[in-house]
Amino acid sequence: MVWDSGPPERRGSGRVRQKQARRYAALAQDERFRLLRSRFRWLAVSIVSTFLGWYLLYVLLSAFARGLMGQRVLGNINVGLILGVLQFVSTFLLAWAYTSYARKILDPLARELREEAEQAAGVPFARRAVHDAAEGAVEGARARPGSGAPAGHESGAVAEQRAREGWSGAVRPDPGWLR
Amino acid sequence: MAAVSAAVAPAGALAGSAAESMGGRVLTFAMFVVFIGITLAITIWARVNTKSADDFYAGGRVFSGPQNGIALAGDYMSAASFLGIAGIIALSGYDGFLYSIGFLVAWLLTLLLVELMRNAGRFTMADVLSYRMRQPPVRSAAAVSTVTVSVFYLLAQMVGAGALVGLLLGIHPGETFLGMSAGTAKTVTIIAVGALMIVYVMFGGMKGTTWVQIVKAVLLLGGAAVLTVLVLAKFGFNLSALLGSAADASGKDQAFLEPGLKYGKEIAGDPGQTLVNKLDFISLALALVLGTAGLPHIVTRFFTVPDARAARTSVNWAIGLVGVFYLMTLALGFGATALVGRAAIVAQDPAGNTAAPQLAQAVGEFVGGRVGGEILLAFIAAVAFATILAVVSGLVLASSTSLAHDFFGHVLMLGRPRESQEVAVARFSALFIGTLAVILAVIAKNMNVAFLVALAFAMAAAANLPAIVLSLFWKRFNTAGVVAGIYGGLLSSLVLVFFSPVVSGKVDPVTGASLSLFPAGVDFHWFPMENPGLVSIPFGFLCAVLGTLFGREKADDERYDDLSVRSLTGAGSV
Repeated sequence: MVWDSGPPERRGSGRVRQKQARRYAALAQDERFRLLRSRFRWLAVSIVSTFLGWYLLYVLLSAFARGLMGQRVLGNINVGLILGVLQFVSTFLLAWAYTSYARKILDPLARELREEAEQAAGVPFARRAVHDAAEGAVEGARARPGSGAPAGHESGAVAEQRAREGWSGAVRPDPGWLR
Repeated sequence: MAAVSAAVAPAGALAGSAAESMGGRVLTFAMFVVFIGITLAITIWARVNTKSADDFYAGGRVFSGPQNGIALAGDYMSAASFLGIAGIIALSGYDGFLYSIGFLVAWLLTLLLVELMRNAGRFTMADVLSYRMRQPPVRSAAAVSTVTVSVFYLLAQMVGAGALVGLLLGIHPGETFLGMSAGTAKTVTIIAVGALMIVYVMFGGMKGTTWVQIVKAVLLLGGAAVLTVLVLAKFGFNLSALLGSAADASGKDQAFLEPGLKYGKEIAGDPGQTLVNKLDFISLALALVLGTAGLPHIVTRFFTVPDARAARTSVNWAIGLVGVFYLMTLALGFGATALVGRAAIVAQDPAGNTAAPQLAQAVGEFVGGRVGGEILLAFIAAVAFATILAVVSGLVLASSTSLAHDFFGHVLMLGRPRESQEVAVARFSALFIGTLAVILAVIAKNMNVAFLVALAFAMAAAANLPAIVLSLFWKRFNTAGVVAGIYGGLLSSLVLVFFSPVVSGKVDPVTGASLSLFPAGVDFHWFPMENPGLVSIPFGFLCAVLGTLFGREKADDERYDDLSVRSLTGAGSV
């Protein structure tokens, strides 16, 4: 038994494998996916710039503003110590903020898209056409240039089944990247 | 974490320490043995339950978010952070705290990347990097980077372990324990630690290693919590009183509570050197904050959970635990200065690594007299030992996974090895990497290799981070870009460190003794900073961008779209 240690989307023989490696590509044109991606990027950029900026500010203050850092506030507790503890607090807060935003806004969208994508990739041709038509009525704007379709005689369901079992056929598959 | 160093035990420095009696030593040793017994039992259980590659590399992906989070924290909180950071705080005050913050803040970057990596990958970082690239060059580069980062980090831990276990057992130069002198004990410790870690990884795989990590993390957090509560109780839970008492005992007064004693030192009358010191500190901070998300032993742990949500939960747990732990080290470090005293700490170990165990003895004595002190000391020493063993196992596992899955599986076998074959290679790689690390550590056992931890972070930030971020977010990024970025970041970090003061040319201004790897008199350094990150991280990104632009290959847009969908939605993930 041949075990393909590649990611599951790269398993499968020859052309199937090539197709599988891009079977979800069509979804990238979906409005909802674009929304998910832009929301994630906006969130990631704002979190990274916040924590990195705030951390670098703290580092720069520690290096160049030692008078300020040594200013005592309460007993022996000085500004430096308070800012340091605030770094902990801000880390916890940002992690919590990201997680709750992701749970509320990103996860439901991602789950919806994932289910749809996996269903589309796993449904055979004949049924896919129906599925597409039905979907198309709802999602008029969606382009799906046949990329989710598995190649040749092998139906999507079988290919999916094979991919899940990690079986890639008796014949040595042609690895796409050797082309 | 840098402070668990090989320089811990210059001959004679330890004489006169009465830290441990024979009885305490036997107790410590007995606790070591108990821990080894428990972990070996875990390993046997894991061996029986490890059948597939998923089991060996990813623990069958059955760990829950919290379990994996505890293990992540365990992987991250090395003996170096427990003993090292407590030691730096005990000797340099505020700067030790400053150092620990970079390690924590870094997890936010990891939190943002973990779901994408978990969704798109399978076992290693290279699964993500190579997804839309040509496999052999990308996989090879990723394997080289993984093994280099891990082995350097490993070497620092192993050499530290050799010196540390001797200290923890209280074996001083001139004394013997079980018939071994201090020098022999160091070598024996390195070999024993190496043998155990090889056994854990070869037989236990990810399942065994994760449970060892969980046991150790619970012990470590529990031990640190007990010490913290006892220290704070001693000062009536008044933080200001603790700080004041520490500042008085440090001999540095208020400066002890302010930045500048260790990092970014100001040299009177030498503004040039002062600026270099400050930039050096910023360089260190940058490497810490950007390195974590690229550390191979952290990345392989993303794949031990069933899905991306659980991976996110595990990082959140790790953030909580690591944060609380570093806040506790603050109390431990200042507590050690206040209750043990600077002189007593330096007498036992000039780098301060024994500050936490010494504190354990001191607070134990307040609670339970002499016996209480010995019991708490033995417990904390055993916790430190457990920590060393668990962390080195995680590192060996990460590098053998990459060697077997990336290099053997995808480069040598073109992605089509038999599953059993690849797992066998992974086990053999663990033996190979472990043995290599033991040999290097025995050779380097008397050198000051503390800088290797910071170097590992700098390499992870300069080589791995650009490749990860750009392959997930930059459409045009291609094979040449990944390869150039990884090798560029890796080599620039290595070259800059080799020509920096940590390798040659740094001498103690008072004694004239060498503070570098090479003996005094050898001086070929031209790079002024000890930490390469400030230069090598931007250089790594630059190489990745230039490689992409000059590479003739055009990026496959469709496959990029596929990767985006997979990484953001989790479609088709394992």
